[in-house]
Amino acid sequence: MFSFWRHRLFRQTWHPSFEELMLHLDGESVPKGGRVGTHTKNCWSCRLRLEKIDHAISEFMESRNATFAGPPALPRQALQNFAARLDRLDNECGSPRLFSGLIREYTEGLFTQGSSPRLAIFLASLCLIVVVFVRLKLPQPVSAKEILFQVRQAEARQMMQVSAPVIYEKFQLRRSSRSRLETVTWEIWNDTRNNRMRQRVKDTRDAALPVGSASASTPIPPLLEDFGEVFRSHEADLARPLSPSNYELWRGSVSQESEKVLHGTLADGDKAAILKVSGRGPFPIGAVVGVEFTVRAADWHPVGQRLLVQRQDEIVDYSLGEIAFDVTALDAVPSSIFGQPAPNGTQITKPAVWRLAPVPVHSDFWAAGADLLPSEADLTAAEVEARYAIHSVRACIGRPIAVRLGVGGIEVDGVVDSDERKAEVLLALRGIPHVAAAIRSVAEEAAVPPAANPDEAALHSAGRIQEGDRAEQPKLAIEALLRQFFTEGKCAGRQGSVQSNCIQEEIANLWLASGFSENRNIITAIIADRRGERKGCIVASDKCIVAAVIQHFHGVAGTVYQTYDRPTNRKRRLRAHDLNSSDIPCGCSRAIGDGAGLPRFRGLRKNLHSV
Amino acid sequence: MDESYAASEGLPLDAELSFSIRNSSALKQRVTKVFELLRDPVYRYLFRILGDPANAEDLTQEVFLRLYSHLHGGGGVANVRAWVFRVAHNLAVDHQRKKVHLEPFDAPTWYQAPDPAPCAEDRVLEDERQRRLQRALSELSSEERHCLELRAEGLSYQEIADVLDIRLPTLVKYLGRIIRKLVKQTAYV
Repeated sequence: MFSFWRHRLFRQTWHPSFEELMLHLDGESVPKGGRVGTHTKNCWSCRLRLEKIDHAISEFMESRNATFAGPPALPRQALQNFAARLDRLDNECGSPRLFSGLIREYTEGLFTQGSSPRLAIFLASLCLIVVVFVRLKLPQPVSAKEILFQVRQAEARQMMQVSAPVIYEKFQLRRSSRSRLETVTWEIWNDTRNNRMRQRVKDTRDAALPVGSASASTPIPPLLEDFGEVFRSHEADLARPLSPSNYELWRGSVSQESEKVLHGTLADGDKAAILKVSGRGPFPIGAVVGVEFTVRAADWHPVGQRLLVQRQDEIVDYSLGEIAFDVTALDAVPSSIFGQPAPNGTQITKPAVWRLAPVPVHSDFWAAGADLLPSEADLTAAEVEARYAIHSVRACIGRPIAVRLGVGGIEVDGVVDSDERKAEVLLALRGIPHVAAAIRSVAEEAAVPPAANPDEAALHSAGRIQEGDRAEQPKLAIEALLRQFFTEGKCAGRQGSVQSNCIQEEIANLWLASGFSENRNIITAIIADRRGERKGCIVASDKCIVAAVIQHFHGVAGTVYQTYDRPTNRKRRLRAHDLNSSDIPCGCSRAIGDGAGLPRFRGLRKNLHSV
Repeated sequence: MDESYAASEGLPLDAELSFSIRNSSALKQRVTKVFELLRDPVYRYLFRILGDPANAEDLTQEVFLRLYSHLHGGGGVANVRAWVFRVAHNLAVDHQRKKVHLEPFDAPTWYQAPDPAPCAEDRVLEDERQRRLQRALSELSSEERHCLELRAEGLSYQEIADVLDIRLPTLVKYLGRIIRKLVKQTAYV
């Protein structure tokens, strides 16, 4: 209201200045031109001022025109004189210059006062062109995580294009140290359907070792033996030496690592992304000092890997370069590679060790791996990782997929809807040690006669698991721990069938309440805790996985009785060492009853903090 | 305003002169055309500033010869009229500087009485009016006279600012001061 009256008062008291009246009279653009015209019509005072200005100008112009006593003009002969002088000047100057005029014209035109918009447009266009050019020229920034994801996706796509795929890879392995340089050629056939692998090596003399030979007299090149030792010592998968899983393993093993994503060019001119991990010393003997993982950018296919390993007095460089790669159907592979083809769905006799001893190239070398049975802790970790892998591909609920303890390993078998789904599940389970997977599609399952199907019982068992009848199933490590936990804890005071029902109810609450959410940190936490690193981080967002982790650590009550003022609690996030069994009394059933005791943390709630 | 100047007003003299003239004869024709259109305003301006018809004629031709040389060398002209008057102004200033001393304001040049009034009373009034205008003009500085003459030749405010190489708001204040002086002396109320 006040501003309205002030504005009205201003309009009533405002008068144009002398300059504004002069501009209005001369027809020049005035910021308040319209208002000046309207005002002078209504304001006698300003109209008088305007007339005075007009009168003064008129007087001056009348006087000025009278000075010339008629139309003032240049004399007639001046035009002829000017034409003559112009001709003389033209003869002196010669022809006009072409290019200098054009350049000068354009540059002067850009910087003249009236062409500032044109200059701005020109400069903006120039900047835009430069930015677009630089943008196109520079490689797009991509993270290591995204590269590994793309590699996995590309691999899964290749696997799904062929039924019963066999991966063929040919590498050149080179070991270089201060003293010498050695090279071998290494070929691998990987039957993903039947979990079989064969390999062939050639040394520098190009002498091929027999395929699938189990002869102890066949010498394996020392270079490959040394390389395999590196893989064995780090529990890496030698069946797929160029895999993202192995790279992640190497990366995790480098102490104080720093990872970079570099861009390079391969020998054939293709662009490549190089994931480079380097650590800071001092390193113990046998430790991985640095890793380079080269991925072809065109199709996200890994083509090379470089491992730097600390030896006694030097750092040895293992370079693995891919020479050939192909994914073919099992039928297209010569029978001499795998010998007798394995029937569909047939499991390996000893699935727990096949990854450790896939090819009997050298009996002495691989025999050590064959006898290396996993410990109970290894099997528990493998089971957790397998369950998480199944969960990560949304196959843990509603599908008859069973996870059970086999001979020296964890067996995962079941039926999925399609071949694509099967490949997806198998891919998720790939690389997990001590795990043998026998996943079949519905079509494959229907094609097998019921009597001939060796996994029928397992399938039925798996179906019963989904129905909640878990008491008759083979006891898994986690299940056994759960039973022990609830027997000593929440269901301790009960007897007989009442106690059994109580235990089953508690376990069922955990299994059936699982949701779908991905949390890779749990596996990281387990692995890190097993190595004593305790650097993993758990975000308890899935009860299914939480249950497995809790039982693996066997210390869920630690979340209840540990000191409340720990820094991790303030961060409202559980860490692996929060579940350490060493500082908690076992048998506190209320922890499970509370949903793993998480609500008892200060400020933690189930759904508000991703619990 | 005379007829020749009125005819030239309708032509795009404030537009950009084509720079793509690469033929001597075409360039001469173009400059001759500009000369025909602007010679009288330029001559009047120079005559009013210098007060000497011979010098004004000579400098007028010099202005358009410089225009030809400028275009012949590949130069550009965004506003022909402003460019021509700027050269004329510079030539006039240079010419005045070459004189040993600044000539006093030539009253007969600035003011020549028109036809005598038919009666004595009108003649007295006209004399009084011219005397007051004369006084007002004599109070103007050289720069103010240049500015007033350029405005009298029909140049816009922006063109005058370009010729005098000053900013437009400065020119508005400049002209306002000049007109105030004229109004003060020629007030009839």
